[in-house]
Amino acid sequence: MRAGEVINSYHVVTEPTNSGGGMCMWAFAIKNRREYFLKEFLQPKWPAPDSMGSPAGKERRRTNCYEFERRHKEIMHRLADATITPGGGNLVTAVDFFRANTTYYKVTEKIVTASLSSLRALSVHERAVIFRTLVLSLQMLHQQEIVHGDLKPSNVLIQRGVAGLHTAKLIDFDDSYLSGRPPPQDQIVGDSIYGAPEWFGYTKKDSTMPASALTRAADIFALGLLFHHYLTDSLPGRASARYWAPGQAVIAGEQLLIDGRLSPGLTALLKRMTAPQPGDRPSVEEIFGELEADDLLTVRGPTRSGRVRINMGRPASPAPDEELGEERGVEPYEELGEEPGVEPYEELGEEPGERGEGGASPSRVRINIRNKDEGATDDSDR
Amino acid sequence: MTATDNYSVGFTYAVDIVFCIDATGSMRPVIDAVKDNVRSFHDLLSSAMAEKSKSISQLRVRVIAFRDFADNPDDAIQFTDFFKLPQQREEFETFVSKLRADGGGDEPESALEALAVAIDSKWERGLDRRRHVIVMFTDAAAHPLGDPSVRAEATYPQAVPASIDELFERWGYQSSEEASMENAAKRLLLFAPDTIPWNAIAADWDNTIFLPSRAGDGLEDHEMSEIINAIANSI
Repeated sequence: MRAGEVINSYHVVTEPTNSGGGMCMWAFAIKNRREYFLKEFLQPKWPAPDSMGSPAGKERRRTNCYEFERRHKEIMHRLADATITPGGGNLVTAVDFFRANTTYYKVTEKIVTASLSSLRALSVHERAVIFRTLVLSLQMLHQQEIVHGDLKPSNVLIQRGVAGLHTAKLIDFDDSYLSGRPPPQDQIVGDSIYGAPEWFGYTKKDSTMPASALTRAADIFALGLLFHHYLTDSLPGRASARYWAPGQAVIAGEQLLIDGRLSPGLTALLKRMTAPQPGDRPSVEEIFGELEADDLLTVRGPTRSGRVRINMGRPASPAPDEELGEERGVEPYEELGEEPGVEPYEELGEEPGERGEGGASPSRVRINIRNKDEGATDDSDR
Repeated sequence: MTATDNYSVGFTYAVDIVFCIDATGSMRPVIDAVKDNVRSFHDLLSSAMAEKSKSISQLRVRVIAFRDFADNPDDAIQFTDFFKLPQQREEFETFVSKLRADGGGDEPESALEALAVAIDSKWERGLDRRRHVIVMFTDAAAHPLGDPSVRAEATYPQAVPASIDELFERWGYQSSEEASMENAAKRLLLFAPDTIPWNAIAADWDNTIFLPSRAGDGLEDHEMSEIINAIANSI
């Protein structure tokens, strides 16, 4: 992928980067005068007739690609169901998934984020709205048996709505998996800083942490860390400096140190959310119930840095050296409506109407795994 | 060992980086930039990783400098074992300081031979998570593999396969039965021109990031930071 290249009618307008890590490159692109976030997967690669490798190897690679497509389509189908339910509009799901020649791509709408000087400037109620929308979004996922798998500040975008209230939008479901069915141990990804104890155990091939141990509770652990980060600008402390991630410390038998400025109610909740055993952590429904009390999110005294950093979303142009969490200028809010000239891709769900401000995201997802150059039959149901 | 004992040392992360550097005459600005930055490489990479809240338990680097077997087989390739950083920083710097950019003859160089030697590295197989990164710097196309007269040279590395198809199989893919590289760990960063074989490798090889190079014009300081970031982002 290069700046200036046109891939399946998406005109790449920024320099691709692998900033943010993961197994992809990304850039912003324009199609039909709308802006999108275009992700290029670095693996797998579809074997073209003239690709390198043996015939037997190409057959194995095709099998890998079909499994890759199946996994992504399964998640996308379930997410499409989630986005049409109330509250599902805060899940930023893919609008396109296709292969061009040997490479797979996924497209999401470009999210416009708001400017916010500090979370301290928000009332406790306003903070609560952000937390509740985040938990609701996660609930949408969990009701579909989906584990997000990579909850962290950069995957939560804060957007200012019509009424001036900020809400949280959840993004990046490419590492998501069905509860209890994670990818193989050497393929599972996710930011280790927010990794649950069972994630570390699974990665270390601990026999007491089989695949079935990786469930929605892993997201709850990460969510607890997110809450702590949003309110204190730091993760829970660890007694030993040898652990650079909370999950590491917990699985080694250490207790996390919750910031003493947090309310007793929230402290108790965070301790439960970061419990060593997945079964001891509350569900999203329980957490949402706890958030009914606004004063749960009070913080005594000034924060350590005098300012709480929260991720304000992706920049309009990627700047690899730019720190996530810094303020952004206000960008024009874009309305999404019908796209003209719909191509013969597989359509899912209902045709959306006009998307009004603050309305639910379109439920339509386009998945085309035909190579436009090959003109083969649609195999997207494989 | 109890489950708790197993985690008492925390989560360990091994990073191996192999630099394949075109050492022909046109690459003098690049070689000079590499020499200027080698002393600070470990610190620069550690800073980039710290910004991402990642901590490397073990960092090793290896250098493979190549020219052209068809032009002069006697100085077509030179390579090191892995140096542990920061413990072996002086040895790493000593090798890099002796690199010289000259020779090369015609434009294609023996980059695929260097890539094969890189793939054949003694990669770290232990610790909890591993990253095996190959970084290719070149401003030229590459000679195809398999030339019998070149392969007959005494200095030609035995590890090099006879075709790019075989080299691809050694790079491998998920579920490969012949791969030398660990699929989840491997990364290939290509700072190379948009020509054969580089664009074909970028199209077919998993986990490959292609950054068409402006090499030959010299690597500016900001480009070195881009390179460091690209490496850190892929870890």
